[in-house]
Amino acid sequence: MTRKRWLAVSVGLIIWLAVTDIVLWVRLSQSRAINAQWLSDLQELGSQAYTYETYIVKSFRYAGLPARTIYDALSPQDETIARKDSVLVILLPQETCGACANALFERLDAENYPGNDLYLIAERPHSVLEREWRAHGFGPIATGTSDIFEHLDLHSEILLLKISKQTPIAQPMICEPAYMRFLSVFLHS
Amino acid sequence: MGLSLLFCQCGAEPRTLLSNVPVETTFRPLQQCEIVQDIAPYIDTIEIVQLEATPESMLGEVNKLLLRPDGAFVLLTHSGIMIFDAQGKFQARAGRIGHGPGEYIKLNDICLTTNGQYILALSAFNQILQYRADNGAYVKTIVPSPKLEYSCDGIAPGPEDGFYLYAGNPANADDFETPFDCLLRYDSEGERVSQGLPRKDFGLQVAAITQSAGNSYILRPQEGDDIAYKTDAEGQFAPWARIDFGDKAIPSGYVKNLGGSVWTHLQDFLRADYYKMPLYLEQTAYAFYFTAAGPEAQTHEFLCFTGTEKGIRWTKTAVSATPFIIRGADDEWFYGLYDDPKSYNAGELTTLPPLKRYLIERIGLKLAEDGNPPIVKIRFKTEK
Repeated sequence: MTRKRWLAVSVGLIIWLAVTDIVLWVRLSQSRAINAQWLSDLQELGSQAYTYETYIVKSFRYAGLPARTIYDALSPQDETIARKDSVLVILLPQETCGACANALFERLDAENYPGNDLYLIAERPHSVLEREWRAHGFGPIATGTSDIFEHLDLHSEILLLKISKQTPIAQPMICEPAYMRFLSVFLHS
Repeated sequence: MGLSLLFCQCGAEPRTLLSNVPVETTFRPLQQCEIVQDIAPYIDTIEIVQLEATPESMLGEVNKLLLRPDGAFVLLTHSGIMIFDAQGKFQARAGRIGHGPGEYIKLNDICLTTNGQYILALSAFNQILQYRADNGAYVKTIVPSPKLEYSCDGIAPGPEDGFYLYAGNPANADDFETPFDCLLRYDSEGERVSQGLPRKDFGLQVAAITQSAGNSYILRPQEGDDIAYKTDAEGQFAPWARIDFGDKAIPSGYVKNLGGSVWTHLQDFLRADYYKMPLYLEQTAYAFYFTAAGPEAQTHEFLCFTGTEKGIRWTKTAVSATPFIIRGADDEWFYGLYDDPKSYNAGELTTLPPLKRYLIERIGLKLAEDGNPPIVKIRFKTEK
């Protein structure tokens, strides 16, 4: 091969290697970025799963409350409650935020849960919230049941209890705005 | 003033957002309104309308009160839209909470059409649900176009069976760089025809649009401005009145100029040593009422006698008490809802605003345990 031809081939090889290196470097960078994004997404999912787990654990602190305790509190208002297949009972402690309670009532209304199977137990009489409850066409209200709330130590959290005739223990769910997406599943499962 | 012209592609009359008229009236509430502790000398007549309380007609918290041309009441509550006749008898519910046709998850505002025959309800998802105002029957749903990326706060009827939507803040309330028009006008099919009234500052969106005498609607001054707008006989908004707090008015752009997230400055804004947020603007044939937040977020109420430079104002010293606020007006009466279950002793009564104290002490007003909040009609004396 002539000297010129060797030179041309060499230059061509160098250029080819350089381009290949650049392409490889770009692809590596992209992969790193994609991996970093995946890692970030996974971490976020993990964090989300952790908060969900924390929330579920928090709700289940209130598991174990006998359905009989709830029936006894509500039977003066509705003696048929113990014969119903399934009822939902809202426990409203006295420190409850009114706006949170109202938001829950609106969600329950939107979920089309049968109003007659919805009950409210309020730690203290709260005429405005009770009126809101009745305005939605929900079921009976029991008030002044502080002994239930002393046992539960709810502070300001609203507790939902699903009770069915088949199970002697109420299924609990803490009502928190960030987890209202679970309400539909809880109600209809 | 944010005037905006948009010419329809078919070459018809341009549909303007606002009528091009000057502001003729200026209220100077701090100068013209005398502070009163006893409101009795200014009251002409009080009438109470008990709203029927049955399992069907129980009311939750009332967010808005409208008056039909025949004096019936249309109330927006947490549990839906309720209609009572002028004597308080329950007539109908308009729609209900749900996902079906004519149903809604949450309503942000309601108004009556200019002829008073239909209710327009603005949902949190910017759908407009129309119901008959006499029996609450669902008519149709209007979906405004083009789609909005934020939720609107208020609705008013517009010309030619159209409507206005008002949103005080964009989806990102911190964004003051991107121009944002607060008022949008739509035709009867929901097509946007004009927009304007650029945002000047962050605002808490409470009672943005109120119904006033003759089914007119008042758009309260947006934050950073002092002009209120009112609909004319055709339903078009026009500049109506300036509310001038003088050098005690909160400077325009107050929250914006603080920088950062607007929500972190909310307390600073409300507690600032100025008067701000004129709300619940209601007008009869002879007087104009509104509230405003003064220094330390204290609520002040103002009653200006139109056509005079006179008026009265009052506030409260109680740290917390459910307020009694005027929520509606026709030519003759102001209307409020008394929704306070508390019984006040003699000492507590002295800390209440004079109007509420008058209703409790002189009228004996109280909320029945299982009843609905009564409507209070107030006629003030026209000369004092």
